[in-house]
Amino acid sequence: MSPAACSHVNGFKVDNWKQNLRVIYRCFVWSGSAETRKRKAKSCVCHVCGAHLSRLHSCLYCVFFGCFAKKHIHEHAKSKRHNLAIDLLYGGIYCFVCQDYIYDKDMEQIAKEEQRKAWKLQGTCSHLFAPAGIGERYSTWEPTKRELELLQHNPKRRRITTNCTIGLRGLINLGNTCFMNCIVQALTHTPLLRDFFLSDRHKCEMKPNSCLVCEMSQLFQEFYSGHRSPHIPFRLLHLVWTHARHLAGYEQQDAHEFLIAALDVLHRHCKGDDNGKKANNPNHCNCIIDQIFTGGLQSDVTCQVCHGVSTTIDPFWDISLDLPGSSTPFWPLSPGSDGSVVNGESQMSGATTLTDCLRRFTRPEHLGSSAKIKCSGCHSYQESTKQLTMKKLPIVACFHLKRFEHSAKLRRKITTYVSFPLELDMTPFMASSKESRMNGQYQQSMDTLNNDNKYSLFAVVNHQGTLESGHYTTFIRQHKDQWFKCDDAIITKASIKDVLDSEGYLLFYHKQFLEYE
Amino acid sequence: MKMEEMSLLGLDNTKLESIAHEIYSDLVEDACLGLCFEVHRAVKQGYFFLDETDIESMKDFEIVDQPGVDIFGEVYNQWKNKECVCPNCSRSIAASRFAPHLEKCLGMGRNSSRIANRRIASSNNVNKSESDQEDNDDLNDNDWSYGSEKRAKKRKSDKVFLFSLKCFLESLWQPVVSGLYPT
Repeated sequence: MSPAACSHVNGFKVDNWKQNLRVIYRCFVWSGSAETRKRKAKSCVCHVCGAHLSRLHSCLYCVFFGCFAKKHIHEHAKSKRHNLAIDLLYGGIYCFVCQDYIYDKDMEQIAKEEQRKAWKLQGTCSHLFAPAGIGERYSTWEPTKRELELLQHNPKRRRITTNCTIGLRGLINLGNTCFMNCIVQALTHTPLLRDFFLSDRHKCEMKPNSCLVCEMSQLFQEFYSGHRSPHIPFRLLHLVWTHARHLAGYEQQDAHEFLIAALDVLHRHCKGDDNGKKANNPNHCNCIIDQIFTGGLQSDVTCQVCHGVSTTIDPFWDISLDLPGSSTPFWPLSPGSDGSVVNGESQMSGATTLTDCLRRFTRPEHLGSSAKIKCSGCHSYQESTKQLTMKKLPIVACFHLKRFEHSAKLRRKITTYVSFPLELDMTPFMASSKESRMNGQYQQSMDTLNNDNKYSLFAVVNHQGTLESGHYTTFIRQHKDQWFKCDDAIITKASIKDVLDSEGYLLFYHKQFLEYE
Repeated sequence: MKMEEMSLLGLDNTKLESIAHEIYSDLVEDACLGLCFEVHRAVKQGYFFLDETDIESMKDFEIVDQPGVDIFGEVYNQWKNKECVCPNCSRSIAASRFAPHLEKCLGMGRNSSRIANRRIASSNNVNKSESDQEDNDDLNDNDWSYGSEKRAKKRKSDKVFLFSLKCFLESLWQPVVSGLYPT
């Protein structure tokens, strides 16, 4: 028997004890509704002195309330030999023989259930203070008996503090494989992904040594092992090339291509974690990759004649943004505005920002007379405008700055500096914002209470050099304001300024606030 | 203190303030009590001291922030002689040359088809020298550059000579060999 329980409860656990205990919890401890609260306030007073606030306890054997502070409950226990009482504030069970609060598994189970019920009730009734559907109350993790044993047998503990190298590790370059190393660094420092793998959530259904998700899991183990020598990701390379043959060839490859290919293979191999849903349909998959990376992009095509809108929503893992300096004109951001703009040249002062790129991405685009769309309202081909907005934002948003131009005429790298922020608010680019703008409501007010669309930068992949030969490095964020530069096997500390001044090729942002679904 | 209903109307500010203060201090006390219960439970259930770390060994993991060394305090570029085992052919390969090796090993990329064609072409010339050539190609990791083709040809003639010599020697040892390794 564990030290927390005591044998004196056995005298209580007879007959209909469970139901009796439930009633006590429901009426006198966890008050879920306004009426039960009133009843508790009125009826729970000490039978000796009438006090209602000095740590009232209820006897478990009879109807008696006594205060703890003035020992009235103790007197009752002694005189009546009723040796168990319950604290009406927090529901703890006190044993007068042990002279301490005890924790009995069965009784705690009942307490937890009643508490959960009361919490749920609170959510629906008091709509003033609690939003509807408050859901589950958060409870901290507690180890199970087996876990406790394991933890006590293995007392050496590693903690990730701000001055700790655990979680950071270099990666050996296997021969121009920096395109892979930079993505691995970004993925291993994605907080939700890290939590998923370190809590061992992957259940593998594939043949041994053929699953990329298992290899990812192994990678996290390597990164958090505390080893200082760089890791050799040869198994990872082998698995990715085996499952994504289109990446064939070891010549200089694109990190963005590798990211998409890797996410795709991981998503396919997550079948075991899918809760039975089909992994083939990207809209209904529930694997960790989809939960973290998949967003929904809404495309609205508006007929210029009848103004009918045709809407489609496509899933995406990343947003590819055009840059000024490419052969497609960047400015103006919307058709007809800012007549002073010359093709391809910016008249705006200051550097281009990520927000500029996003505004361009979500601008209404005139599809010319050569690209008429069949309008179901007009039943004929008409000119139209197309506009992209975000329908659903992923938890991790990856922005790909299209720096590599592969047009028919030229192959070159666009090195235009684009400034990107540490914190990003995606609200202006949401489909819902566009709707309210169209309805005449301007959401210009600082909606600081709406935290849904706020993102924080946590990884930046950079490319140095030319299109033919270059090198990828990554800046990653380990703690709130600690950044590190990952250059293959060399990991060094970096300043926020280093990160924000860098050119930027792939930008990884993480949602700041996560909601329960 | 007995509980009784009272109206808040007609009370002056000081009285209201003292009531508010009373409620506030009750709430603070209750919150503190809650914390006490949490700690008490954690200690009794045995998981309170679980996250104590060993201060001495934590020192090993401190981040180093000095020029010329990485966060582990190591000098740059000292990881030269790492090796790994190819999951495809089980050979031990130098880590920094693993990617080009894997490309050939898996038969991917434009270089591999070139090498494969060359092998097919040369196997029509000399019998049984295929396997020798394969060994040669894998050891010579510079296959993807054009210069090495000449070197490979030269070695081929050496190999033909050695092969003939090997056949001759084998014919001498044949009875002994078959005695040692019965088929």
